Amino acid sequence: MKSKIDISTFLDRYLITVSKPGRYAGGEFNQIKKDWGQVEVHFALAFPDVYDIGLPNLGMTILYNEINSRQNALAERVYCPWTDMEELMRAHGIPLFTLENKVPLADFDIVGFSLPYETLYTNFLNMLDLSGIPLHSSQRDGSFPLIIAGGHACFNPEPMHAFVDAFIIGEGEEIIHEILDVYAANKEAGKSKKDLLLSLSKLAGVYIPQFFNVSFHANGQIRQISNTVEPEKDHIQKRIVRKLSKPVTKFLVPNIKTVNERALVEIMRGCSRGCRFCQAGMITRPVRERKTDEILETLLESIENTGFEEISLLSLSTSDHSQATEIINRVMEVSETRDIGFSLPSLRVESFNAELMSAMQAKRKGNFTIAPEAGSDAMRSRINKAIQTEDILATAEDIFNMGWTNLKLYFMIGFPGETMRDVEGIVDLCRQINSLAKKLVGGRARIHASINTLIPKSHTPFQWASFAKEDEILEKYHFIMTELKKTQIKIDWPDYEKSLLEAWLSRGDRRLSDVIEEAWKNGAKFDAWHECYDINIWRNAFDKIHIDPDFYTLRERSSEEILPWEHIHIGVAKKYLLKEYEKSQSLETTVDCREICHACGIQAYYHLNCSQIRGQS
Amino acid sequence: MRIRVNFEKSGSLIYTSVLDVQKIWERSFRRAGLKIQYSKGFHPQPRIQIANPLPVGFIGRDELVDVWLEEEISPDKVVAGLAGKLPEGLSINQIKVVEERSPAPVNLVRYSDYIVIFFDETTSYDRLSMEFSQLLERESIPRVRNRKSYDLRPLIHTISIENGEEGLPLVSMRLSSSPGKTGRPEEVLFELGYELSDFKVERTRLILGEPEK
Repeated sequence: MKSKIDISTFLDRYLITVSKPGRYAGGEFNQIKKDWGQVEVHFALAFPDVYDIGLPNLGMTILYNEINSRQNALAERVYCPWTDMEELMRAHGIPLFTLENKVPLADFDIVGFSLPYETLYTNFLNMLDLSGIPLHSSQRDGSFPLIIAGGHACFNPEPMHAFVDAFIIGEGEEIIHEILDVYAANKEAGKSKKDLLLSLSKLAGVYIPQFFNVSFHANGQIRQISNTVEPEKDHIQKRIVRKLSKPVTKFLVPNIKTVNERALVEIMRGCSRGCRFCQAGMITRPVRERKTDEILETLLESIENTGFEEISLLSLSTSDHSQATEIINRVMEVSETRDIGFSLPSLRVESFNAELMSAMQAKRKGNFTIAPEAGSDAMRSRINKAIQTEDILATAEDIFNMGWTNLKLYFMIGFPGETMRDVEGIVDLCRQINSLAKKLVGGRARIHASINTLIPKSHTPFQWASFAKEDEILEKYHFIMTELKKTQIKIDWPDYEKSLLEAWLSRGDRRLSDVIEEAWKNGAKFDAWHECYDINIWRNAFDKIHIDPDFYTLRERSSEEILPWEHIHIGVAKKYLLKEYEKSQSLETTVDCREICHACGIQAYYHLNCSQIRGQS
Repeated sequence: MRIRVNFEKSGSLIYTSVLDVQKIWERSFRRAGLKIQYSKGFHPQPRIQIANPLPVGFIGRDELVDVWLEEEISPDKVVAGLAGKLPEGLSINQIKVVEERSPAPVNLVRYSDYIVIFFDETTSYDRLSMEFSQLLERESIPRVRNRKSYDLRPLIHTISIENGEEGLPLVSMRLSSSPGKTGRPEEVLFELGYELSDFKVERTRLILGEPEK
């Protein structure tokens, strides 16, 4: 095993030869570097993508601060080395190390991986391999670090079940402390790994895959999911925090360029709109808003602690915050007096009003984004994003009248029940917006349309739907491209194959662990990167393991079928999701649950009152 | 008010480019609550001018940056304000006030002094002595960098070698360092057939002079 000195010597000599060596240097302002010997529990926070992407991740930042705030623990960070650095490290026998104290990952007590999306799975394996840590949970005894994972992809943890010792389902701020307490207690008592896992399984929100057994029918569908250790505990309930904890203000300030360099405040968690394709909206319920004063205080403190020249408000639907207008007004004020840029993603057309618009008037640079998602009123009813075409056009008109020239539009194709009429609707809408732009802004108008393929995600009303077939999607895409060729609209379309990979991984069952490992063995890595992923490696892996990938995607599932994520409960009941799926088929909409409660299950599940908990944070 | 900061860049900051360093200064001043002036026009930029870019991978012991502040404030107060606001790897040697109408710092630098330290037994004192004598005897050293041809010889002012720590040779160089006339130490070593991973470079001094006409 390489010592710290060997790693330092290696870096001293060879780091200069790789691209963006600053990725591996650490030393960022607000970095927390503790004394290894002074703490009991050593935690490595791992983000399975390159530093440029991982550094600004808010989840990592929150946990970094939470863990380091404890006397008895430290947290250090590790990101996935880029391919050139990986090659160099392997050539010199250098194991993967954390940035703070340059400690090999295998020396840590716990390694916690952030898994925000599925295309990072192969990087996860690569990072374990680079650390000399066995990939399979069953191959690791107590001499290896405990490998845990959390993040949105963990809401269907099954494809990664073989590699992770414990999944955290849901929000991590509170449970991370419980995990560390249990770990410390077990370590002190000299207990075995099995005992540790048993203790961890008692914590609400922790899923230990090796304690569950999954059996299959001959046709590949799941026969049963059962807890072999505690049979009555047949499901895992996601963790929520009832009141959002004090927000982070000491963001890490990168010394090199990263994808985002801003002070962020999460102003709200959860969403009440109920769009039927949206997993994030379903799995982050209930809605909890932060108070305006706290938001502003946090922003000011963050600017002082970081010196960032840009600030941003984070939530799934910013304009839905009950104090949205006041917040934006006050943030604009800070932005102007301090000469700090301000970006505001996720605004809903429905919550646009004259007040909000004029609050944003001064901020006319940059892009304005709206997400109609579907091209026709009918399809928008199906997906429950019920905005009328005339409202979208009215908003676009307001946007252009106020002086914005750059507009980005988000659309999706591949919805269940979709016809060419709906696709024509996308074209018509784009054309109409384009005409408006030309009329009101003239030649400076820049319209950008992003057309994504729907991936029917777990825990959404569309989870029973099938993923669209390739020839259908290509036909629809080419239609849109051809029809809009004469306009100056720039069209963005992520590859069908990239979406296909995400669809396989997000809808898969535990048998996919073998496929993921096979794909990794054959060179799959950085699958989220356009220039890196290779669908053929995956097709070959499925072939080798004798699994037909279409089973996961090109098959509408019956409501009777046991889904691979059946035992992961998000608080929104399965029968509610099913009812929403049925309503989508008859074009029935469901209003925002701030207006009427539809008893999705969250209140019953967590014994809370949504209207109360909304304003409590 | 215009100040000139003399600083050191080392440790984790070795791998930052000049644009990164500029940003780091901008943010450090912002954290210290010291307002920097902005240029006028459509795209206002903070008025920070680095005297001479230090290539990525080098330690800099005597770097210079001019900063224009909104308010008049004593250099001591600036140093005090920046205390605890700099990332590790950045430290201030000295700050002094500079006349507003002084020439741009980039026009003041004439030469850079470098030391080059070799890793293990890549080479020897004797071998290097010979290689450098031969190199300096040449009238021209044509090279290509970033697809541009140039002559390295006139950019070399002096080179000397001595026996450094643990018997590893230590090379000192003074190279020309002004806009359009910049000699790079690694280019000298590449010409002799060495690779980036054979050595490390430290810039020990910036030699200033009157701006050229």
